[in-house]
This record gives sequence, structure tokens and C-alpha cells, in this order.
Amino acid sequence: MSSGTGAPELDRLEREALEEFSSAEDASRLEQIRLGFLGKKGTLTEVLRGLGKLPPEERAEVGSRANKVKVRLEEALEAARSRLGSESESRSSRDAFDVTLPGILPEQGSRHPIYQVAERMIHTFHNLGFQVADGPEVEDEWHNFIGLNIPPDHIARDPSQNFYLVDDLLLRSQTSTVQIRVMEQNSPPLRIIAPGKVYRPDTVDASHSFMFHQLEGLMVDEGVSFGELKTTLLLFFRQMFSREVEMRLRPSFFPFTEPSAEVDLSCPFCARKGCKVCSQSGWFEVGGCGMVDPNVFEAVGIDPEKYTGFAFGLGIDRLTMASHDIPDIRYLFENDVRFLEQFSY
Amino acid sequence: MKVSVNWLNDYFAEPLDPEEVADRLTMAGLACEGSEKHGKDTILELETATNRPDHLGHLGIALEISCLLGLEMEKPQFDFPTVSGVDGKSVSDLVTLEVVDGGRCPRYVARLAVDVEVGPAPSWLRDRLEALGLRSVNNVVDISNYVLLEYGQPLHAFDFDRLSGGTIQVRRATQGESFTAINDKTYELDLEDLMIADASESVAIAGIMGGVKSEVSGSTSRVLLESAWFEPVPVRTTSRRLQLVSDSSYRFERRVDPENVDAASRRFMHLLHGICSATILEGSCELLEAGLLTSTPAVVDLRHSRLQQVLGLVIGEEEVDRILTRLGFEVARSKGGVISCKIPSFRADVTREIDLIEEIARIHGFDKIEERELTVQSVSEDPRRRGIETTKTLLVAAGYHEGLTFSFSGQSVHEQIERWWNPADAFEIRNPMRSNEKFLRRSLLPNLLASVRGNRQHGVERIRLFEIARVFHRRLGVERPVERDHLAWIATGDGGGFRQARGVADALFDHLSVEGVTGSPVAGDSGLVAGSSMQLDLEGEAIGIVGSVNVDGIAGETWCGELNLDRVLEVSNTARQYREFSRLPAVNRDLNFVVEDGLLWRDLQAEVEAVDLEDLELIEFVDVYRGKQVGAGRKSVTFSLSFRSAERTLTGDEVDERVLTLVGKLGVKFGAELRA
Repeated sequence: MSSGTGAPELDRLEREALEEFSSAEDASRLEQIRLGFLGKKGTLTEVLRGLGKLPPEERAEVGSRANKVKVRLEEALEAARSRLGSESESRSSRDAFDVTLPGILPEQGSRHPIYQVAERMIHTFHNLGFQVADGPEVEDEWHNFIGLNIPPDHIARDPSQNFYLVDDLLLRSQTSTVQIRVMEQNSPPLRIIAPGKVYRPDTVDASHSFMFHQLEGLMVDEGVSFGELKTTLLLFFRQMFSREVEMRLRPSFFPFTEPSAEVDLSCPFCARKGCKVCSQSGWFEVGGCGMVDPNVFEAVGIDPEKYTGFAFGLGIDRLTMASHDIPDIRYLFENDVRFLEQFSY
Repeated sequence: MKVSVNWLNDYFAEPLDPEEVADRLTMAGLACEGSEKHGKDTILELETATNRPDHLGHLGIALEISCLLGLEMEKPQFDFPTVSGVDGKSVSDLVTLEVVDGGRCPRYVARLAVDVEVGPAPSWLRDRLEALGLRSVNNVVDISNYVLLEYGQPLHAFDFDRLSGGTIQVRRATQGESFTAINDKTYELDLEDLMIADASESVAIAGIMGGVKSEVSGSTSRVLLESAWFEPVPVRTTSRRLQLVSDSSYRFERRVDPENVDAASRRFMHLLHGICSATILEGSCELLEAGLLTSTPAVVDLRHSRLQQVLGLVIGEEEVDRILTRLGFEVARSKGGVISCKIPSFRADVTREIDLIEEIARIHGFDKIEERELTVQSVSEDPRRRGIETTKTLLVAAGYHEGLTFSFSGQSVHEQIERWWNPADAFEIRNPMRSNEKFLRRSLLPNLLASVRGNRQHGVERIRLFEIARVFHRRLGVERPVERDHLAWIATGDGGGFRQARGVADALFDHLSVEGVTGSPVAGDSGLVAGSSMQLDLEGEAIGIVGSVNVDGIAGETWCGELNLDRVLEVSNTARQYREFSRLPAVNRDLNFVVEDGLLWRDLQAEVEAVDLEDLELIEFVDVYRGKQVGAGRKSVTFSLSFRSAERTLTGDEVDERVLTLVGKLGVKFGAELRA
């Protein structure tokens, strides 16, 4: 290990190196010269490595100088490289290197289209001040029916219309169960959404599955009216589709809301001209909504005289199919990679 | 419910515009799902609500239209001439009516017509029925169907001469009784079923369907007409059990209007007189258990202020009164903005203030409700949801596609994976859709592995899938399933391997700042290939598995992993804080030791850490080699150490000294020999 590392030695080293760099006649010679000074065992590298062994008072001065030399040598090296490169390297490689070869793509997976749409919905409702709430997928009759004002002889409670585990436990048939859970545990004001899986033993076909996804919404406060319901849905759809959409609320009947309405959108894919997505009607049904029924408020111990509220349920799978023009709901559950990779992001 | 616009025109002075009617009804809750031309008539297919049986007849629809369009409505005629008796005998002399089960049938009206000329129905009547999809039978039966479609009140016409003893008895079926209905099918009845019988046997399943014996035929001359009100739920129960749904049962089970029972019966006789030249006997045989029917209409109060509170809209008092009155409510205003509404008999669905508010809103129009300003509210992000987002982003960036499989499982070859996660029995579904989907899943892997198989069958060779979903575990002393979110991932085809599969978990722990997870050979049978699977533990609890798995019919290896994601997210702390790092150069040393083949990297690494070499920043596994040069039962392990000080530049010599210490310690601990 060379130890003669005073300032004169460094000056000499710099001079020699600069001269050699500028006179190198080709790239391989330049590389040899580089290794001689800056390589692992190069002379300047040895100097730098040896710094630790110098007395502290010398170390700082020599170190700083050596580093300056190093920077200058690297600059000179670059200059030499570009001089040689423009003369020879590019000329020799122009024919050999085919820049039109396809790129090698980084590996890329994808999110499931249903969850992409769900995330967009959640994000949009976040902007409107709605917090995500969660509930179990296996529910009791209280949360799935009774609390929601669904009477015992209602068709929806027929055991054949539900997946029962035991007498009082079933897979939830709607995300409205989360409304009850949230209102049992929290006091108004409330603004929540609850996306998730629901289960009904429907015969499977192009538009029915026995497991599907809903997004429930609930807002409860003093002075919340049907006007707020309508406003919330309109703001949501405008953001979701990034443009003006026409929405119509068609009176309907649900046990847990009153007044109740079906939510129809001007078909976002044909602007009401009629297309196969909306079966030529120009309107596209996306869910149900209404003002929370006073019986529901009473079931969860909220004063229906003081508070009013609205609830809605939107079909995530349906919005997904429409958003991507997917003709058959079964495709969403097949997990064919050639289907999934179409939705990469 | 199919509705004829021509028919509706009967009740109005001017013909209706079918398109306007369809549109207004749709926007008032009677969705028009289609319309078709039938000659000069237009037939509308309306979707009626289950709680609005009054919409199951043309009169009910016409009332709705009269309210929506502000039109006066003409009621149908139901007068007819009568004779006091036949051969000196009145209706009550000729007919014996016994209602044994009044609880199920609180209202029954029987009228009698004689000299009835049974024959084909006139063409206008036939056309109307056929336009609505009903088959014409004969004039008498057609009239009863016509009145059903007009009033929504089912009627049944009996051939009176075939009713033995001139008797109508309303009673339960007897044990083991069977009955042949006019559809020529025979039904086995039980004690819960309500029947209509004559003096000797059953002649109809009450409210559902009549029998062959007493049906009106060409030889009929005396007709007994039944118009009744049956309890809805028993009709539905019987109809369901017998799998026998008729236009009649469909209406009775939704609760017909008790006030229509007599009116519909009179309307029938009016038409029978005109069409079949029948002679109608005065009066009727009837029964009324008034206590069981709401004979006096209920009164519901509506506060005008509440209307505004719920709808967020001011509707004038006159408009409110107009709507309610047109819909058949009797309205009385009192001071303080309270409206007392007498509920008509056909609106059993209206019992509360909110029901009246809905009526007003629906007729006034939801479209008139204006947008309001929403108050701004901030939402805090749920760290758990953010953790799931991070997880998905990571998996997608690593080339995995997100899958979505059903929450059910069956007894598959991968049952053992489910058992490893939760040895207790799975929760079973009473009515599974498919026999291989009887249980709630305890692991995500079996269904994900089935997806691998599916992809392979479709010719996809290289597969990367992941899923985040609930699993359902049984815990002692807990009735409900314990639900947790799991993450599972699988890889097959090029570029897969155990370390790649494990790398997914390691990267996730790194992203989520989860510390203290240890990996060790799997304990027990996890359903993965023994010897190439590991379990991940956190604080003494197994939170995941990684390994290779044999998938039926798939050559080549499949690698997979599954984590209890909820547990991982519980301990995740993604709050990041800057840590000072050294800007001085590091000194690296690659070391190559020969050790016993059974020595786990985990233990070797732990020992290197335990030696606690000064300035040791990083230990990295490089390679393992087995072969002749190393000798049987041994392997050569290469790893790299990186030393760095925060204060000064380290020299090679001092690092080499520290490495020598390590070599000594590893020699003593594992008999490890440093290779040149």
C-alpha cells in the first residue's frame, strides 16, 4: 500500500492522469488508464483508502484535496469518453443495436374490476363525507330482517330465499344490516357507507349470482330530508362518471325506507338513446333508496321525531358490468387470467 | 299486472294517451315495464307493489290515473233487475251457507241467478280477456274473470244444480283429503287448508281454485256466485305448499278490499243479466264477521310540518288535500296544521303518518324535490382499509391478478388446508346451491387453487392470483363464526418458487412495518407439500403458511401462501419516521461456510446476530451449495456482511478482525468451516 501521499504527490498524480486521459486513442485503452487511477486498486483509490492511517491533523487536508482530484479526474474521464464515443463507438454499434425491439415490460398484475369500481365509489363518497363501516357477513335475523322492519311473513324472509346456517343465523341478504349495526352503536349525526358481499340463493344466469356486492349508504341527522338524499346521489353520480348524468327516482316499496324509490340513471353509455346495456330504455337501474322508516329508528333507539335520515343501496356488480360492458356476471367470478388482465391498473 | 288502455278509457270522458299514462304511472311507482299494441288497444305491463293489491284491477289503476292527471272518473254500473224468488223460494230458502271457519273467511256473499243462457262470450268481452292473456271459456266464466280484472276481487261461479243440498260450507280440509281442481290436477290437502264444500264433498280450494264437479258448463242454468274475503296468509301457505298459484290466490294473498266483496258480486250480476239474459234473485246469502275486518276506517293524522321535514319541500295545503281526496282518503283539517285522514278500506297499507307523506310525495312527484346544499364533513381514513390498499398495490405490482371466488367450500382434496387454519368443523349451509359448496370456507386457498385448475384447462400456463376475503372459523363457546379477512396468493408457471412465494409475505411485512414474524417448518399437516412448506408465527400464534401444493391434474409446481391479514394489519404501524443513516462507505465481506445440511438459515442468521459484531449493518443470504466438494450431509452457505460506522470510515483490516471473531464463534456453535 503506497503511503507517500503529500500534496506534491497528488498534484503529480493529477497531471499524469489528465494527460493520459486526453491522449487515449480508443475506449479500451481509456478503460485501462481509468483502472490505473480510479479502479479498485488504482493509485488515487489507494490514496483515499490510506487516509484512515494518517494522523488526524493531516487526514482532513489530504482527504479534501484527494477528493477534489478525484472529481477532476472523473470529469476528464467523461470528456475523454464522449470524445471517443462520438468518433467510434456509436458508429460501430449503430448497425448492431436494434432500437425498434419491443420493450421488456415490468411484471404487471391487476385489481379485480368489481373492487376497482367499489374503490371508486368509496372514494367518491369519502369526498361527500361518508365514512366506511363494516359488518359481519353472517348475520342474525334481528340485523337482517327485524330491525329493518321486515315482517315475519314477508317473502324476503322465506328460508328458501336465504342461506341459513341455523335458525337465527344466515348469510346477510343485503348490506342494510350494517345500517342497524351502526345506528345501534352510534348516535347521529351519521354518514356512512358499507360496501360488501351479500348472498341470495338465486338461480345463476347472465345477470344473477348467489353472491354479489352492494354498497349501502346512510345519513342521519336533524333536518335530513329527501332533498339531501337526492342531492347526495346526484353529486355521487356526477363525480363517479365525471359528467352530468340525469337521475330519476321512481317511487317504490321497501320495508326499511319510506318514501322509497328505485334509482335510475340516464344510461351513461348511450346518453338515453337506447343501447343493449339499458335494454333500449335509456334508463339504467342502479339501486334503491328512501327515507329511513320511523320503525327502523325506533328499533335502534333513535328518536324519529328529532332525527330524519336516508338510506340507499347500490349494486356494485351491476355498475361494474355496465362500466366495462361485461355481458355476463359469471365472468366476474371465473378468475380467468385472460379476463382479469384486461383490467390491469 | 297487464292493463288495457281501452278498458281504462271506459272510466273517463276522453281517451287517454297511452304514452302519457305509462310515463306518469311509472313515475308514481307503477313501473311500466313494456307496452304492446293489440289491435287498436294498447296493453301496458305494470309492475305493482306487493302492498298495493288495489292495483290488481283496472278500477284501482283508473283511480291512480284520475289523481295523477286530474280527471273525473265514472264508476261502472252494477244495478240489475231482480225477482223475489223462484217457485216461491227466496235465495235464503234455496241456499244454505255455513261458515265453519269464520276466522279464515270473515265475509262471504252468495248470489243466485236462474235461466242463465250459457254460451260463447260476446266478442268485446272475449277480446278484452284475450288481450290481457286470458283464455275465453264461456260467457259466465268470462264475466267472473272480467270482474276480477276490473275490481281485483276474485269470484267463483258454481253450477248450483251440482252443489248437493244447495249447500255452501266453508271449512278446513279433512285428514288425507284429495281434490281434483279444474286444471285436472289432484292435490293432497291437510288440516290447514280451507275448502269450499257442498253437503257431501269439497267443491273448491278456498280462494285458489274450483273443482271439476261444480264448474259452469253448457248444461248449466242456475249459477251460484261466490264473492268472499279470505285471510291472506293461509291462502299463501296453501298456495305455496300445493305449488298452485292462480289469479285468485295471487290477489287473496295480498289482501283484497273487503268493501269490494259485495260490489263485485253486484257487478257480475249486472253483466250476467245483460249478457246471459239471466234472471237474478233478490238479495244474497251472506255472512259478515265484522270484528275480523276493519269495518270502520281508521283515521291517521298528518302534520303539515312533518311533511316538509321529511321531503324538504313545501307543498301547499290545497295540493295536499287534492291528492289525498283523489286517492280516496277523507280529509278533515283542524287547527295547528294537522290533517285527519280517514283511510279507505282498500288502503290497508296506510296506517301511519309516514305512509300519507309517501302518498303525497309520490303523486306530487319526486322530480319536484329540489337539490339542497350538503354540509361539508371530513372523513378520517381507516388505517385498516389503507393497509388493505397497500397490500393490493404490492401484490399487483408483483404481477399478481386479484381474483374473486365464492365464500363457500366443499369437501375437497384441499380440506386439510382448511383444517390447519381451523380444526373445528366448518359452518354448514342448510340449502346450498351446489353440493360442493355446502360449507363456509375456513381458508381461501382451495377455491383459488380451483381457479388455477380452471385457468390451466383454458390453456393458461403462467398464473399469478391473489384474493382478499373473509374466512369463517368456529371457536369454542361462540355461536357465530369468527370472521377474519385473509390474504392468499398462488403462483404457477415460469418464475415461481418457494422463495418468491415467501417473498410476497416478507415484502408485505416490510411495507406494513410488521415486525417479529418468524418463519419455521410447518407444524402438523397443513395440506401443503411436507418439507417445502413453512408457517409464519407472530407472538406465538400461527398467522400464515407458505409452500408448495399439489393441484389435481396440474404438472409442475404450484406455490402459494395465505395470511391472516386482519392480524397482520392489527400490528401494522405505517407511521414512518426518518432515521439518520451513515454517509460513510461500507465495507463488505462475502463469507462461505460449510455446515451440517440440517442447519436452518434462520438459526445461522440468529447466531450471527447474537455475536453482535460492531458496526454490522446487514446480513444477506447469497447462496447455498451441495455437492461433491462439500461432502455428503453438508452444505456450503454463502452470505454477505456489510459493516458501516456512523462516525468514521472503517478499514478493511479492522473489519477482517471482527469477521475472524465470527468465524470462531460459528465454528464452535455449528462446526462451521470457512471455505477459502
